[in-house]
Amino acid sequence: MPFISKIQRQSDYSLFPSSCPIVIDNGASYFRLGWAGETDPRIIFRNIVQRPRLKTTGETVTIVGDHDPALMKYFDCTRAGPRSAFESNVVFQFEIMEYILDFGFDRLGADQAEIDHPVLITECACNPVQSRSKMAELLFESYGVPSVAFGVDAAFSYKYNQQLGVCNKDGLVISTGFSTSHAIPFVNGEPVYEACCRTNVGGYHVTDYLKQLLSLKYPHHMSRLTWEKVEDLKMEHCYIAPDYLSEARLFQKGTKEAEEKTKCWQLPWTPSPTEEPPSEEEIARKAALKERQGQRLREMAEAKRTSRINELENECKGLEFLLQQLIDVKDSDIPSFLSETGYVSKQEIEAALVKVTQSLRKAKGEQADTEEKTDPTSTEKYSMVDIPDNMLTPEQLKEKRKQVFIKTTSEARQRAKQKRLEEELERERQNKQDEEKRLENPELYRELLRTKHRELSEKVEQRKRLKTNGGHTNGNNNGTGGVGRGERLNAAQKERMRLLTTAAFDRGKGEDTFGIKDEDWQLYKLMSKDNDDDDEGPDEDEAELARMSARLKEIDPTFLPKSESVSSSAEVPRIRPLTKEDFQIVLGVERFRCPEILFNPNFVGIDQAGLDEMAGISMRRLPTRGQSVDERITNSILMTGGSCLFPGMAERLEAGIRMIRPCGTPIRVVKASDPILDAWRGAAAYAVAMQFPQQTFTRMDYYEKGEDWLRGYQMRYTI
Amino acid sequence: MWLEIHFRVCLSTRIYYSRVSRKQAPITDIPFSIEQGSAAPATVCVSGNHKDDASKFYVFRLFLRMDQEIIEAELVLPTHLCFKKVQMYEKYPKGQQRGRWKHLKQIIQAENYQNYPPNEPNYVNIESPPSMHPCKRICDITGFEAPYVDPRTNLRYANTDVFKLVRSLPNEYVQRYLALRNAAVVLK
Repeated sequence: MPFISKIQRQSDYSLFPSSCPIVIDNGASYFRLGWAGETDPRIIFRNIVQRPRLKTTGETVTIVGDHDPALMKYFDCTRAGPRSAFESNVVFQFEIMEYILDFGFDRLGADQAEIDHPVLITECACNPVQSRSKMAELLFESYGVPSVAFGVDAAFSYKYNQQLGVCNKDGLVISTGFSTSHAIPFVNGEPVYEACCRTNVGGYHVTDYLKQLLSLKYPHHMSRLTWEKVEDLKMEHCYIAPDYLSEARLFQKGTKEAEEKTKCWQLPWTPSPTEEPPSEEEIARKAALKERQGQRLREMAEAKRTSRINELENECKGLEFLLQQLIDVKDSDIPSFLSETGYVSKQEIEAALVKVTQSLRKAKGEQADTEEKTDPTSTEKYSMVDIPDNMLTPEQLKEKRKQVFIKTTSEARQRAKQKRLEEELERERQNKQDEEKRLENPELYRELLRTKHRELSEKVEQRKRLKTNGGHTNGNNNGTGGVGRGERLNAAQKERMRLLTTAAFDRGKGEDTFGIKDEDWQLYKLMSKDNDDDDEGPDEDEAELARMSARLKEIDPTFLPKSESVSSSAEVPRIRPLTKEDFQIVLGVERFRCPEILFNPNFVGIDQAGLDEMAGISMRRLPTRGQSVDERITNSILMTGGSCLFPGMAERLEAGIRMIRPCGTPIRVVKASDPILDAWRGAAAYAVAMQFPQQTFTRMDYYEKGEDWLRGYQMRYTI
Repeated sequence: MWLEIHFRVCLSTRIYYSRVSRKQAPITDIPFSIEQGSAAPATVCVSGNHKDDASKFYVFRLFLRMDQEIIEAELVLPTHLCFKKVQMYEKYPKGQQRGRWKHLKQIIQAENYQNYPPNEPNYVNIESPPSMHPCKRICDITGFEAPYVDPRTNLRYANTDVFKLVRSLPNEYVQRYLALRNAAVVLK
């Protein structure tokens, strides 16, 4: 049920005599305007104003009510959202109010120099006099209205239904408005404002709650959840549960009934075209391209290599030639001979030659086999190791130390090699054993291996988790969200912090025995920052785990190593194509959770009584009490206002009031004949009465009697 | 596009035209200047004593830089309305600082309700008192009955599944859920 706007310009304005009042129901959600004595308002629109800029000229224009959204493309609405003249249910922004009245009178067809008709306009119960006087001023000054009357919408609705025979002259009206709800008792056909009560919750809160809940539930569809759409959803799907908690329990258990009650709104969705795998031709083309590029690179590398080899060979030849020349030169002439070439001595040239030949060999791809060569000569190399120190000159001593060092390192290397070999053998042996075991009883073996794997992986996981302190609180750990929630440090960092603080506060407490034992000094090692990741335990475990998972993979086709499964599950949402379900907005508990705030305003943090309790409060506040009056009142409870259109409202209200009132009280809750339009209809019916002019006041009255009089102004509804 | 506007004007009527210059000119000049005006005015406003006997019709042809569709839908509220005694542009002249409207809180404060007898109904004392029923605690996320409260986020939750969700929620969402029942941390 979309918004109903009636904004056709009327052409019969001039046909109405100037005594015919104009009736305005100025509700916070809708503005309704029409002629007294008619059954329906002529003009209805949403009580909002927008002041966007025209895209073509940049001029600020005024748009009242809501229009075809397709036409809004001509306007730049980025800085001007819809604005209302109301705060709570009181008009406070009279500039906006004036735009709204302008638009209303314009569409009513007003074409004379002023609005020469009495105006009956609704206001909230106990409207602050400031708002009332501003409204009167506006009507008198800007529009030249001869006289004005103010009335309360809920009262008009009650009176109208009383005329229709829906309710009696003693009774109670429960009216749920846009941002407030009222309970007003009636005695002898007159509202008793002393006994009325107001809770600041209304249809606006219901829609807003639904909008917030849905946009929290479906963050990626937030743009679709416009106010208007959510309002439609509310009107279409929301209902009032007879008992909130038992209804919620139905949904929690996921019963069939709850499933039937769950509604779903399918957003427009077109399946994304499945990407076709590239054709063979394409693949071949791509492969060829790749091959060609590879070939080019290889050629380039080859060319580079050959040029380098050439270069090096030339250098080598040059050096060899130089050496040969040197042979012919006398020793004393060498420095003068070499001064041209840049070398100082023969040794230097030889060294350079060796270097060049080595790099030449490398360039040609031959293996440098220096290490192998040293092996056979090892005994000669370490010639000095066994000679005692005192038999050696200082230079020889130095040489000896060098030899000892080289010898020990090479021996260590040998030993490591040996160990590796042994390990290999051991592993092979183990594998063989495993194989034998497996052949004996494959099933049992597999099972055994699996449990072992699980245990080990759990152990490793545990260790990791301890280190990083629980990966399950994702989102909290990284980013700003987690700061201040006690998850900043991992276990190792925490331990370090603890050590530091204990060390800091330990000082001066009793006798300082630190340092007597050698272990004390270990503390500093633990405190140091790089302590975090030097434990070797997990490494062994991890190696074992890797071996085991490899083995399991070999023999068990169903086995899935955990790390892989984790990573694949993390990737799933990214690669999963969007389905129809992703574009559904499911309304389950929300259907009755949102209107429930009318009965439990504390759901949205409003600490006031709900609709059912309001009835009781209002009865308690009545100045004239007595069982007969109370019973007459509870026997004629009328609900009006847009929110009582929710299914189940009357039943719930009746049950709620029955709980408050004494046992055996007659309770009758009726819905207004038209909860939305009755206020206007009541006012229009009221304004045609002969005595209506006595209820109005003129501009003269207003200025003579002043604000204090206006404060006491109260319309009589029985005339 | 051209738009014909019929005005009943008299010699004392003044026309405001051109949103740029906001010039005023006596009516005798107007048809002239508008037709000549190469810089086409976007809006033309007429004001004056309409009840003058010497009034007659003038027909202006204006070039309006507005799209046909908008004009047909009569989307834009005209700046000049003949039935008004004081026009909006007179009341709230452009570019002038507008007095801010008192908000409801300020209005109530200015009403001085404390000076009136307490049994007289007014906007403040008709408000409902807090509910007498024990308040129902519902899960902030699912709406089910919520026996538990997460001490870290202060969100109410119904069961372990919801708890897991609560703990995985980013802080912004936690605050938005709390704001729904007016329990969010508000920094001032």
